Amino acid sequence: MEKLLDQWMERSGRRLAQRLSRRGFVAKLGVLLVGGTALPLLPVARAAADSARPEPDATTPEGDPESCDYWRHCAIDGFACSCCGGTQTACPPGAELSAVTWIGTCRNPADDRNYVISYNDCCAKSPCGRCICNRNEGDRPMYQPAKSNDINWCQSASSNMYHCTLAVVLGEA
Amino acid sequence: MAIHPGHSKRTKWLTARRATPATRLPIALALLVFLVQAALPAPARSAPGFDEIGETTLPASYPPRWVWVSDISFFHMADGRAYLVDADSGRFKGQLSTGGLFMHLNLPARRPEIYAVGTYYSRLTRGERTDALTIYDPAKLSPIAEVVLPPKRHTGMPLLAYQALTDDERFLVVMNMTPAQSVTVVDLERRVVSAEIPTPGCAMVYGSGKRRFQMLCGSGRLQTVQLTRDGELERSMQSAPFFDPSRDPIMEKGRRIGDRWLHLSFAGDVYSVQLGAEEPSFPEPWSLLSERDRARNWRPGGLMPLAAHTATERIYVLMHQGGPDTHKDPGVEVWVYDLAKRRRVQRIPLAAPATSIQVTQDAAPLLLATFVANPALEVYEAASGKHLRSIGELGTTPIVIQSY
Repeated sequence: MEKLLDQWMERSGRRLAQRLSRRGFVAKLGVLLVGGTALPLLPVARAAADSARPEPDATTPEGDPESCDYWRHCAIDGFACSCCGGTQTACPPGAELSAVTWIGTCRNPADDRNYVISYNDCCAKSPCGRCICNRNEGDRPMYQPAKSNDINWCQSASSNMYHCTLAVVLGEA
Repeated sequence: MAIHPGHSKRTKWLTARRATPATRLPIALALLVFLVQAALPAPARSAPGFDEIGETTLPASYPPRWVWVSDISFFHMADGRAYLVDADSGRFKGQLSTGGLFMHLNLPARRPEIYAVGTYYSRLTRGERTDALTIYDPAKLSPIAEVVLPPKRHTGMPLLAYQALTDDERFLVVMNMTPAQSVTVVDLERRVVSAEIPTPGCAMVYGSGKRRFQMLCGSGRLQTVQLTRDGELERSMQSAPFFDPSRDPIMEKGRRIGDRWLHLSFAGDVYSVQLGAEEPSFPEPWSLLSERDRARNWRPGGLMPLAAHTATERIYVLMHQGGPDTHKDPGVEVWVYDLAKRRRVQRIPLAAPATSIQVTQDAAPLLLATFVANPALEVYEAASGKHLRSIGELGTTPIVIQSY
């Protein structure tokens, strides 16, 4: 576990460096987030559709669902389900999907477009403990729940015990 | 009925004049058990000069440098803990087991009690859910009572605003989210739930007066809720917006100093909420940062980035260099501000990056820090910034630090 935590630190530092070199992008994202309030952001179950779209090269961190740097993980806070026996769109075996969730916006480097990402939690098991990621692009405090990754989003599952988090593309931002 | 054969056999033993070889062995074993039990080293029976066995107890109220470090146990969240540590000596004083999805303790000043709210499932991670407030004895660190709550408490990344005491310490207010937002009010004298109050659009709870608490709303307003003597809703009022959540949100990680609540914005402004009057007022926000600081990208961040020392009216802020969206990044320095002058008076470079800070409330305070990914409490002398000690092996994910 210590190794995992070390990796988290390392990733945190690397991300910080990336952010600093992408200030222009971050500013654009800020504008987008403000505009984003007009989007249908209600935290409802929309996890079903994840139709085909270009994904970055899977051999790069931004295209690897088991990496915290995976493009859809730009606002994930928790364990990536891809590392826990599931995928970025499907809960690991036996973990229960919670339909109520929050929504972020990430840029897909494969087509340079922004997409709305639903970070549904998979629940009713002890935490997976693998690929702990904490990225906060567009994250807001818990008084704005639909934009907050600090909330335990297992609320609509049969158990609030958090296992891991998906990163489902809902549509273009 | 299986008991009858055994019972009749036992009766036979008692009435038999002579034991048969078959019954001698059980009699001998019973005698042996009796002798071993009689010889057990109960404290009252130990001979002078030999060990006594027993349990440690603590004082009912603690010295100001004893602090609580709360651990959600992020890798096994059914098993929350709070560790009591003497930051002065570095000694571990004891532990509370605080249940599942544990956020933080509530520490009343006037009652010899400690409060923790936990979520318990009948099969650990599944089954029937019970949310409960557990009341612990500070001297024995054991539960003395519990109040079962509606199973809807809000949980998430720990910070100090999931439950709050009213100033008279009569009521504990517990934030709920299903995702409908409400609060559960617990009457701590009668040890019952006195009310559930819907609070749509507003979250987190901050004690703000006798039978009164506040919440932050997504609209940038402050909600104040006044309770009746019986802990029911008397009235609820919302302020005009006092911050702009879309331009520069305030963190929900505020700290109280006397009759003010202070909230930091993502960009480093300090928003104050002045209590005392019938309605709270909002002094002009001020910035932690000079132009030079801003040019170098300094900003506050972390999981518990703000601490306050009440007697000296100083605030301690965990700072890092980073751009937007770094509001939870670890800090590398603590900046100290004189609240009256709104001026920085000290910079403390940390020995290790930190995600939470706290200060003790004694005259010469200690600055305490944890990093969520390293189970240790770092102790600094606040006045000099000197790193004094590191207290290790504190669970797995220590986040909330609380002092008296």
